[in-house]
Amino acid sequence: MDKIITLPLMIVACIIGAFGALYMKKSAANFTLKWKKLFSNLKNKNLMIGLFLYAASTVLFVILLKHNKLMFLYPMTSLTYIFAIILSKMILNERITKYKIIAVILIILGNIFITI
Amino acid sequence: MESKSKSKRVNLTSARYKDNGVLFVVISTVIIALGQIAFKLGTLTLDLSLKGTILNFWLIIGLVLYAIATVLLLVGLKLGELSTLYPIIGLAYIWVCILSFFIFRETITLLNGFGILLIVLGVGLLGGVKHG
Repeated sequence: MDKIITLPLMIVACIIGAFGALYMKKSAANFTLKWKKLFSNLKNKNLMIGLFLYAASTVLFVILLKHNKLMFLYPMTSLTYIFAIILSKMILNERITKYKIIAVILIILGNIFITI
Repeated sequence: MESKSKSKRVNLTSARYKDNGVLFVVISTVIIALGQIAFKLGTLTLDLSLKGTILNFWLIIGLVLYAIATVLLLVGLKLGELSTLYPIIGLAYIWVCILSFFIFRETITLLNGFGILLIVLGVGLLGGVKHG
């Protein structure tokens, strides 16, 4: 597959994954592991949306993986961290400290070096 | 004096544990990595019929591990900020690298080692520093 098509699709997959993470975070407050309430998690709308978006981004990634080298795609999944941070700033009003930014840059560089 | 410093230490630990859920996400990444190894083992024995895929032992194990990892991630997210916890998932790369070395005899290059170091530094920064 052409890299010109792969790149935007990969970014889309990462954005979908980041929205998945956002909805998981939103769902977490109501998420319960209490045995009697276990099924109430199925009614947790944010959780269902989050899991669906996760699955969607994974499917897209696997489709792209069929046509591209893992070595090229795998480090790009760490773009999801950047989108997740942007969303947590914009929607959850979390504070983005300079430590968080440095940490994410280190992790993304690490992901690249560990894959090549 | 001694008991004071001891209680201070305990408080710090419990505060961190309650504050940001880092520990849960770190354990979650180990299980994600084990899941990915299971998927890899699954593809080694995969026959591509629908039945063969659904009943593949290692794929089922992989999915179960992913489910457990997701539950741990959710528990972590209950306790902490998304912007702190989500990038920690990058730790999974390290576990996959190390597990692949032992299970599939894949090589770890010097550059890979440098990558591991950077990820550890990044995650340490997220987990260790108290964020506002």
